[in-house]
Amino acid sequence: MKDKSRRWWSRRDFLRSAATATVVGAAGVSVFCRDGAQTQPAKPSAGTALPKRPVPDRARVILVRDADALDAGGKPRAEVVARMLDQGVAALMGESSAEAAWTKLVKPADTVGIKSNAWRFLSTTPEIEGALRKRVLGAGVAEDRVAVDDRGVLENPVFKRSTALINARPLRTHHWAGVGSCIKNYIMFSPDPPSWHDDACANLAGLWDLPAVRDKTRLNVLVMLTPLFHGKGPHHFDPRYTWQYRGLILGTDVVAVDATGLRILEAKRRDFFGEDQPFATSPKHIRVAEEKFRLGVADPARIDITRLGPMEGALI
Amino acid sequence: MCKRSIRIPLLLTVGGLAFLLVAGVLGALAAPPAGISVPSGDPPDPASLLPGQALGYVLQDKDGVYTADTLHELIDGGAEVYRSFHVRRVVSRRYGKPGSPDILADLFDMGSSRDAFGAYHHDIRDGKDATAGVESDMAGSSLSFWKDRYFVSLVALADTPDTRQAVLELGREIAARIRGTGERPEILRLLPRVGLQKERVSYFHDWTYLNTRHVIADENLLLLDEETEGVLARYRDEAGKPAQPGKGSRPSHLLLLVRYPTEERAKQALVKFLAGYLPGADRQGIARRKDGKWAASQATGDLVVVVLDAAEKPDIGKLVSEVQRARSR
Repeated sequence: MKDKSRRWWSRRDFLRSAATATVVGAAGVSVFCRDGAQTQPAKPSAGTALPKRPVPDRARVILVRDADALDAGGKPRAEVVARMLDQGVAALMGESSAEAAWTKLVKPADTVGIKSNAWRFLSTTPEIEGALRKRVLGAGVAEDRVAVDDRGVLENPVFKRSTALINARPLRTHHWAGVGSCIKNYIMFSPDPPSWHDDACANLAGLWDLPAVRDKTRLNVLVMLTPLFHGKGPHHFDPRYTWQYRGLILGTDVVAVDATGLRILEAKRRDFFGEDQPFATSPKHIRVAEEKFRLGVADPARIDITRLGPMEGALI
Repeated sequence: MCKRSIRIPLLLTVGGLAFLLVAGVLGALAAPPAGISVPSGDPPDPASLLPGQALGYVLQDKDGVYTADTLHELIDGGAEVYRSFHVRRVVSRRYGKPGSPDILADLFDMGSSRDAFGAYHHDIRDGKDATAGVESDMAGSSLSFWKDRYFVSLVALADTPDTRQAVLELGREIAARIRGTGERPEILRLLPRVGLQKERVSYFHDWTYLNTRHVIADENLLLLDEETEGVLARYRDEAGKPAQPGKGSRPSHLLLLVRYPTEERAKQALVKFLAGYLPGADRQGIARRKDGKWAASQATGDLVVVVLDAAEKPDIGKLVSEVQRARSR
């Protein structure tokens, strides 16, 4: 907390850097804030009323793992990840079958956008996207009212008239936000994504009050097949910092989903580095999502985890 | 016929030697003094700097081409870093080989070698030198380097001995295709050497970027803009400790040098900085801040010299003299 310098990038300095990001926030410094911030009517700022929705006492997430989720080359096996999704959704909705569960999530009259993530190094994966799309269609939604997109959501006609969103992306460390997870996945609904980077992206949960998004999300899927647990810069990816976790975290409470993924990533970093290894940038936006935006439950003590499949090496 | 066949090559040879002599003299006259950054001139098509194949890896998709305005489509968070270093154009190419993980190559045209240096040094550089470009960093199957006006990144989607070799091969081929070399930013030369932690030097242009390296204030107290350049360096104390600050400990001090287009601008910046950051500074521009750390600032010519986070009262006069001496060399 004493050191205000950021990203001097020695491994030892990482010990100090989570506190650093907090100081950045406390100092009120806008990090790479572009003028687009003023064009963000829904972006929280001084004078903007914050949502008064109640935060539930408890939240529930489903952690599904399958040893066969990846093939020998580390690529997802389509039929296995589809099965994992089915198991997770059924458990989440308290149904005995995925079909029945999906009819609770989306209705035939819905127009459904499946928000994925297209980062080249670690994407949502076509296998997950395909499995979600298939289930949405199976729930009776017409084919021309379902779309999968990431960077084109603001122009995509299905997303523009969507009544329901399915949010699916992989978990990874992130240069500005500490971690990139489901809350952050809606940044492409903003016409000026960099304007959300202020203060370690603390206010990302404000994205969820954008008109294109608000109250539409039916399901969050945090893809934990090969999460990325360490990064060295904005354009950095090293496959040695991924591992085959072979899991998915599902939930309707996006904050609880992200908070659970974060715990696993923290545990992996402890495991790998041999000691607590704070993120180069604090992923405080997850905590802020509950405390300031009241979007969901971030406190692990109030999150119930239903575990499905083998839990060896689950790190939680 | 025979005489003629001899004379023509002879004439060509004599003419060629004369041409080379004149060109050499003109070239020598036109050559910049040592240490001055060499402008790259008209850059080649960036895509031409990326080979079509290497070690069985061949081009997969159509290249992605990005500008400063569209770079966020390539980089999920962090395009601002490259924008702050004036990125011009980025070409992104995917290489593939049956049964092997793909390799992604991104070539950033930063417009100048100093900005290529800045972009390269933004990330943690704790890998090994790969002898590609001016400086390179190889870690697993990821390679980054800078050369001339280009910052280059190569990443294989999985790490195998095969991908390491292919990434290295591709990187060296790209480096060979970049004809210029480029210089490190000249302002780095002005940093005093004693105690300098070379791996902890950041080059920058703008205030928001500087604040990502060391939080100073929300307001642009040093009047940084497109025309300024600066360097922030970390120093150990003269006893040589601590080289690497441990948990909760601090470096001995930070030194910030900023160069302005005019001496007048430097003076204006000093006045603003002293008023905004060191309001209680003495006549030498030294003050102790609320956190107990010392800071100081003076201007010399078109430079502003700032000491931050010093554990003891800094000898700013000595530091300024050292900067002046380095400049006169």
